[in-house]
Amino acid sequence: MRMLHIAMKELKAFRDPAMLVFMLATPIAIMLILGTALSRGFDREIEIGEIRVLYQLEQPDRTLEQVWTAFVGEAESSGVRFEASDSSEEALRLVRRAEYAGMAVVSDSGVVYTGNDRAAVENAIVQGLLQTFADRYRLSAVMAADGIPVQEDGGRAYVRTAAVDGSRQPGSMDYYAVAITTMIILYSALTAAQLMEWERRRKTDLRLLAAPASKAEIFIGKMAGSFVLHAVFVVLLVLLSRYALGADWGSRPLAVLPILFSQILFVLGLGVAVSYVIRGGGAAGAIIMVIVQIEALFGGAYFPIEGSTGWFGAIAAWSPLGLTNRAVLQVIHSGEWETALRAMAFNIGAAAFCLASAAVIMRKREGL
Amino acid sequence: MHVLEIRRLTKKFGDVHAVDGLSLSVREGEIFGLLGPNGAGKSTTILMIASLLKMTDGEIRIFGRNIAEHPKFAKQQIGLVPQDLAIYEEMTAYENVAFFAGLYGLRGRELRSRAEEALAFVGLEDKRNRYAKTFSGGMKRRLNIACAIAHRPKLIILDEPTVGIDPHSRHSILSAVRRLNESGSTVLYTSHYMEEVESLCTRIAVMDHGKVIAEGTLPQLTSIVTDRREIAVTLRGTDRVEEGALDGIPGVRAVACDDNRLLIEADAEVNNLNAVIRALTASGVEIADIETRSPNLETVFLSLTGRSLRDD
Repeated sequence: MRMLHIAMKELKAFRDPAMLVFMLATPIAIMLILGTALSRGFDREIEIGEIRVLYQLEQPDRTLEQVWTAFVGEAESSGVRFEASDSSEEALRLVRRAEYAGMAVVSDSGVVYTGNDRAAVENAIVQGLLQTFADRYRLSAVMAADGIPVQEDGGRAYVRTAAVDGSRQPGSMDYYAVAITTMIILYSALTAAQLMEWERRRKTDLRLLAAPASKAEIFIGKMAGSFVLHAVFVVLLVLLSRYALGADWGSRPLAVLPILFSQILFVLGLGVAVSYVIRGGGAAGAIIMVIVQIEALFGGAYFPIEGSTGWFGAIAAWSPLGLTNRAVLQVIHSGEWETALRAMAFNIGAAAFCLASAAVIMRKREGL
Repeated sequence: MHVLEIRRLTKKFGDVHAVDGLSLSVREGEIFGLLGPNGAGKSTTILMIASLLKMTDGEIRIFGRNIAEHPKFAKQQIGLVPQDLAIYEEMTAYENVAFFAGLYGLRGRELRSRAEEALAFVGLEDKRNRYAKTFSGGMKRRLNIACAIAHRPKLIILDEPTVGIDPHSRHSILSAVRRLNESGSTVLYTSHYMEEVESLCTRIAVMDHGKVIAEGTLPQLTSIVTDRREIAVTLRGTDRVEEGALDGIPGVRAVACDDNRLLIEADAEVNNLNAVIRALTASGVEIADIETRSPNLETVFLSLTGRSLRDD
């Protein structure tokens, strides 16, 4: 009961305007600024105008002509316009001058496509379309040989093209909503480092220890209160960024909370452990500040670290913050929990180690 | 019955004996004063009684139980008012008192009524919802006391509770201590203000260098020096007197300087006032005021140690 009593007292910090500004207003403002300012860096859409392609039909039979005509009509509706050409040389000259993306020679034995190498994206699109055409024609030719009438749509009903959806990619606001939330959690290490120091500075440690409460009750009570306080802030941050900024936290935003809560536990443990190993709140705070800054950089708080190479990539791969960020993003955008489980196991394990270290030092020390 | 018994209590910090084989006992219903200059070991003794500091040697018993074996029982009986303010400035007066009372196991309606009672006791009932950070120094001192008494401790320890506050708040605090005692609590009161201890305490232990050098009621202590008197000289424009300026004056036993106040312990039957004035004038100091006093705790301390209570 004393632990609960002490924890409830810690929650009163919620009334502190400075705490509210730091834990809610500041991260929302940073999300808004970074999410807006760096949105182009996350833009994966390429605008392509109409693609023009020249073609020659060589000795077409009825099936080929029928399937090709249907295909050209369909392609045009997708923004790819096939235009007939009488001369190969003239067609190649126009392709070289980039007036056309490429030239296709279509015959009974296959399709030969020659594209301008400066129009790589357009060529990829055209090649994909021609591949679909080839499949349909092959099937229609076999059906015609077997006496099965080919449908007027050029075999469209027989061959359907489908693509497997890749994982969704976060936009800038989606990314920074996660990255700034985890970074703000990281800053909680500073609060944790001051948890006992504040009591010492205000001399209230004397009253706490003079009461019939054990050091363990005081320690656990204060940690529990601080954990709940930060957890509430994180929930509010997730909801605010989702509904006020439109950040994508997935279809079930609260599903990522266990990962974020495990990070809070780790960070609080880290802060308390550093404050016990390094005596004096000021020195501990300075060391934690350095850790936070390095972690924020290599953990992807300021810019995405996915795909980083060299020494930066090597360090980033070992960043606990980076691991948590990856875990949250993967759960949100691909529903994948493997990294999340690894991140939670790491956070909880590291928290246990840090808290145990702090508890051992505290037991040996006179006072809190 | 003894509320507190201390035997051969010792605390060493490295080679320094902060408390050196101290023994004393406090009876139920007493206001027991621990008097001594700064650094005498009063606060260290109190921290050990409250289980906040481990003793190097010795034994402390609260209501007959050894606190090393029964720490929770001992803590439950004690209400500690630390020398420094120990309150949460960002919490209201009521929240402060209720929080600390809750640490002693009080809950619900009982907690609320005891917290209100404690606030009323120190005259802060109408300030219950004000944040402590808005309080004056004296009000904070009173809140500091309220936080220690809401659980109705049988032994209240006040460690220099009137340091650095205005006369009105001091009077209010001393009055509260008397009322606490009248309501059944035993009080252990430390101070280096002789007047407070003289007016408040039923029994007094004088401490110096970690030891009790005299113990008893005020009459018992002053009887040690009935053949003495104190000459108090207020100096103008200086706080120093040439060393040896009063040497050779008949009846002068000890001299101590405290700011611009010169305290002279002298034999009661020797009339040496004129000689003292002449010697001081000859040494070049200007006398602003001079008075002779009957023996008091200051005289006792001066007689026993050769120093003033306020010497640092």
